[in-house]
Amino acid sequence: MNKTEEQILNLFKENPNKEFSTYDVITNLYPNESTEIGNSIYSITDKESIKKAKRRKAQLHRKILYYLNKLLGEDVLKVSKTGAKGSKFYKLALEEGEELILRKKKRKIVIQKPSIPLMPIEGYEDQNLLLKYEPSSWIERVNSIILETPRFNSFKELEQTVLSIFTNINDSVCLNDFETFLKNNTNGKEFLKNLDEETKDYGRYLNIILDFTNIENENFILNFIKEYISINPEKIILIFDIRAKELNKYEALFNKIIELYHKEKKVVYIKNQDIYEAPCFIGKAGPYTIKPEEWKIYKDTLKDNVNCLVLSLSSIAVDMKRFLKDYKDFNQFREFILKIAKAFLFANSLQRRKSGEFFESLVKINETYIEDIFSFGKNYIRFWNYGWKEEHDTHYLELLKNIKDIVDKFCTSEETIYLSCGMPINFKIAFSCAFSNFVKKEFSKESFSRLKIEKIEDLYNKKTMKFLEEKEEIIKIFDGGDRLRIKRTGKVVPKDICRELNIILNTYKVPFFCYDFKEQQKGNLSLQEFFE
Amino acid sequence: MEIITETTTEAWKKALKYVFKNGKDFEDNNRICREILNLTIKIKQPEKDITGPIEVLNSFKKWVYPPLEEIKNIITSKNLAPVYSYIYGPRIFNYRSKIDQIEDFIIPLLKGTKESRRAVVTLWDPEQDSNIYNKGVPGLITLDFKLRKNRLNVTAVIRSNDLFFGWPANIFQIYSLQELIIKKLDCLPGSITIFSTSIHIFKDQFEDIKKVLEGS
Repeated sequence: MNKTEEQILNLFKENPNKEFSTYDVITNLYPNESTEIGNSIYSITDKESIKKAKRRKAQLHRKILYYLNKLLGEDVLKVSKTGAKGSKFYKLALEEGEELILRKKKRKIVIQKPSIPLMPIEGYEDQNLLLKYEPSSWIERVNSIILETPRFNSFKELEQTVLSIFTNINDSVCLNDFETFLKNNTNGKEFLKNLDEETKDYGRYLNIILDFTNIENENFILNFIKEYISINPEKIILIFDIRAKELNKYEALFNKIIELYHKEKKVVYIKNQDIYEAPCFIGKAGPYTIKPEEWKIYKDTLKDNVNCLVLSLSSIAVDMKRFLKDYKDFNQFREFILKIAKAFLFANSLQRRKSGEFFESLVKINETYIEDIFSFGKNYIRFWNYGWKEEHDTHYLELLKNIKDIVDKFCTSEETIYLSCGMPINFKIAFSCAFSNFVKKEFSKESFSRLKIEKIEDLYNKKTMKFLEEKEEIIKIFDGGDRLRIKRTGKVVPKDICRELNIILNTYKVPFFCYDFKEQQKGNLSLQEFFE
Repeated sequence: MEIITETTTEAWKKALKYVFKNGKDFEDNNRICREILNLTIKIKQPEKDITGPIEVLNSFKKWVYPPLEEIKNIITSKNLAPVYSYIYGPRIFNYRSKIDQIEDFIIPLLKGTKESRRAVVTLWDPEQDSNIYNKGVPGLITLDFKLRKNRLNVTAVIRSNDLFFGWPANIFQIYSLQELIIKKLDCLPGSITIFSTSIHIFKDQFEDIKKVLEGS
């Protein structure tokens, strides 16, 4: 057997649950050469070196592709997905618990894929009452992490880190304190451009948090936003972390931002730091956050020592409307959610035992405090059609509150049991909502109410006020984060939008919301609440 | 006080009964804890029903007890998986990233001097654990191995032992290690003795403990 072929097989053998892109295979097989090529390509002074490096990169790609295609032809590998630019991702063509025996001349290679334990929820999965997020990587990848950008020295280093951890994450990365990073790093266009392509290829979200309480140079921020708008990345989100005070202080800057976003019909994401200190961000599955009290502990004890923090381990979405329609019983719903909690416990047990293999790149980017980066990671139960604005909405919300208490108690008692057994584990379950992109194919038709406003006066409308007060109640239950979407129709004058934002920041306990200008020109000018 | 039994389940139930009746109550992190200091439990033939207490706990549906594989892995794994702050295995097989206390010490020692009284494994690491701010420290402190009449007897010292939930896992872990060494020494299993300097149950477990004792 050829040496390269053997190396590729060994890579898959050591990581039987992982998928690899051609680039991943190259960086694993030729780590030093890959770094050298990367460094040369990024070198802007020596054109000859760039040319040489690009040629070598292409050679390596062709070589690896030859063997990957050979293994595809032999049914050893399969293509797990194709990225936006056509780049392919490969996985072992094996089911859980299966064994593959390859006889190559004098050698016999045995590759096994460990079986995932049977979960007490699989019957419900068949009925489309629940859905695992990314079932194929449900256990071996975490959903989301926060990267502490001030600990990185350049756009290049940050970009390479983001790329390296994409293989260990299946939904979203949040770049925290990016305004501090921008103090020493300007010209982020290339960074945004590259990551725009990579996020599309990998199907991941990248959130960039700009903390306006910590801005020194407005121009750096505005330039970066302009670069962002000019690229218009699909899966990269800017989050403006502000207090009402900053909205006033940087009014001129915000007017420009609103103008830019409105022109491109983009969505402005705002986090209200006055009422919520911890980061909030989104992925395909839904919103993510960490409790403010946990964030404080993290800030006081860990933040300066780690490069990343894992926020979400695994996610399951639940179609509440369909379950209660089919079973018509709140007690059965409680039992159902507890079964999901138990399934998480089984999944986390496997994750823990295999964490060295599953989360290799997350471990690599932190030299110390490795166990601490998982210490706030939660499992997410995401609710779909959870009755907001439905006929029995208050019952539904009361039910969710009650179940949250039961689930929290279950988690605490399991942590105690494990600790008693000599296994200090973190086992927490957060509640949140599911985004439609995650569940729309399998679950019941969306029946949420939406908030549309046309003008500032709409915010004083009784219906809007009631809507927002009810949203506040939901936010209290969803400790894993929630996001309010406000569709802004009508004429957009940046100054007026800033006033509207000010009212929301000062009046409502909504930590994370967005202003959506996408439907701005469709002319639906009245406040509407509707069921679809 | 010393409890001596033939089997594991019998030992567990006797100890539960003893602590329930004779323990002293105090408040521990908002829970009422009933405690006995310095209790010795000796099981002559642990291999007969080593998972018995775990099976009893698994028969309750309201909690999920850790899987046997993970319980065993905690003491037999040489590497610390990134998600744990500590586990017993690396302390035994890779102490301070330097010493394999089983392969490099216990096995050659007992192969050479069968009656040795030096076959001791330490899990408490003062450098890491003797720190008042560090709360994630091991409960299992030392393991002592005595090879007598070709049987390997193990004595464990546990500083803090939750009798209801923790002890069934602890005894299984100690047994797993005993089994591993027996294979290497080609000897027979002996007794397991656990000396708990604090063995306790909690008030919120009382109803379930009563159910266990009623079933005996």
